Amino acid sequence: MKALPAIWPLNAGIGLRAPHTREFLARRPKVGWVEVHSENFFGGGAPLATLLQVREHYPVSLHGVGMGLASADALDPGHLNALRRLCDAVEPAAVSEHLCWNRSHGVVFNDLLPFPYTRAALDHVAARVQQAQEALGRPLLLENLSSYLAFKRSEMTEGEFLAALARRTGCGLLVDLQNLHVNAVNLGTDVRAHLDALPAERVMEYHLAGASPQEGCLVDTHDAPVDEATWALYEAALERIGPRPTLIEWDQGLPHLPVLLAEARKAQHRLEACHVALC
Amino acid sequence: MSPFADTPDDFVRPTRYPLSEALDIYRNNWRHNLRQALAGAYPVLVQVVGEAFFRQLATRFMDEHPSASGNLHDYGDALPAFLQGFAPAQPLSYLPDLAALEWACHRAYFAPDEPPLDLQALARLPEQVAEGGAGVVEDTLEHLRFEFHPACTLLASPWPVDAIWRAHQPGAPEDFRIDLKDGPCRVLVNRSEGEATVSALAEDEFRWLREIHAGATLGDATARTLEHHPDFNPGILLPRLALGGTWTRFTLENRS
Repeated sequence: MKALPAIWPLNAGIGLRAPHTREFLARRPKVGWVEVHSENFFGGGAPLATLLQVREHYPVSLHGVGMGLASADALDPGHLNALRRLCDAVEPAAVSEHLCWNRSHGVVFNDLLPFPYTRAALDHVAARVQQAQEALGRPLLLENLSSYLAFKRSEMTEGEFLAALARRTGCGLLVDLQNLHVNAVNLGTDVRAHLDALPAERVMEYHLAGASPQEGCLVDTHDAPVDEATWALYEAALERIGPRPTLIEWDQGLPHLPVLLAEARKAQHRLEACHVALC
Repeated sequence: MSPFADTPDDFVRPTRYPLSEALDIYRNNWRHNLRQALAGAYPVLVQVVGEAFFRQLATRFMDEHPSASGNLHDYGDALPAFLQGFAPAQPLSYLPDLAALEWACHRAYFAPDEPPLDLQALARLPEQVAEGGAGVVEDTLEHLRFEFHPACTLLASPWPVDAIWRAHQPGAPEDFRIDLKDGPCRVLVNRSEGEATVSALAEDEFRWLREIHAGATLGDATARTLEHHPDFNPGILLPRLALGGTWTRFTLENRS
């Protein structure tokens, strides 16, 4: 087996989706790393074989959408096992999940659902994060959510919740700037305060994506180029937290691969400008 | 059923838009995700019934069969059974079996990898049996059981659903004619080079494979098949299955 690129470079990467994979492997474009949705590779066959081919040439980050760490129901042991097997096969640069719930009384809603940020919820989620990290034998990165509602019972902000979670469990943080922008527009979230609340040394990754305005609110659709407001937040994060591996996410209405790569180059330029500024 | 129907206004902070709009976004996301999962697993069904009908079918299905897995590729296994009782689909009597074939293909695509059948170990068996003095060498084969690869499913239908499935694959000729009287069909679904494959089986082959799948030894499966099909000869099928990735492991029944 070939030596694998093991380090997660401080570069821009792209979310690699099935329609692009063949072209991506044929062209092997200059991009730092790729991220895929973990659940698409829980079996074997062509999906896993192709991912392992990609892995021979690029660091791969595994991004889960289905664990629902904040659910009151127990974590699904089958799901954890499948993710563990995938980690063993892929040797990922990072493994991330969302700060959300998705399961109640055995029914799964296959979405990323918000919950009140209470001290009781923190105890609960911290225990779940620890359980998952032990099962996987590696730290998780937890991503902030795009939400369309917020709860009166919350005792802290999402940023404070994530900061406390990172301190309690040793987990890393994935800061999705698009989600923060969506929450700022929809819920009036104070994005700068959110960034300031996070322990910079626990932040391991940024996500950038596009959203769609629908009626009175902004919906996190991942179907458009990164908008100016999100680029501005990214620059603010680079300044406050520092440069981190940065992902362009595009999940619906996929553009041609070169368009996606051009978005990644925009992030790369900002990352490099930040490096220069730091020197 | 909806997870949001009972959320009281006083539980949620006011935003610039009404709560109902936020709940609609979640409701739509949830339905969209499940519908996409079903359309991904049942692409032929979508073509056969059309997108508008499929949308209605998916909505009714997800109301009765919520997801039970955080992996959307697991969603939709109950659709073939649901179609049996779905009144608007009754005129297309073959639809449940077509859906069962598609689900088997979907599972084949995502099935875990297994090491191939160890043919060398299989070839060494008669020697080992002879050395062990455990019995008659010639009938070793009779006492073998085989485990099927997780990508494999055996399916039978009174309708020619394999022909319908083939006619709706990418690149298939657009002008086809299938007579429903061309059924029945019996198939083995498997995976080859990452793609689901659908192989037609003769009636005797299907009976024999179903016996082996249920755990019968080759000898018992053959004897039971011969009761119904006196001309059956497993010798033709055996190498095809052993080499084709249908089986992953064998065990030799202990004889006393």
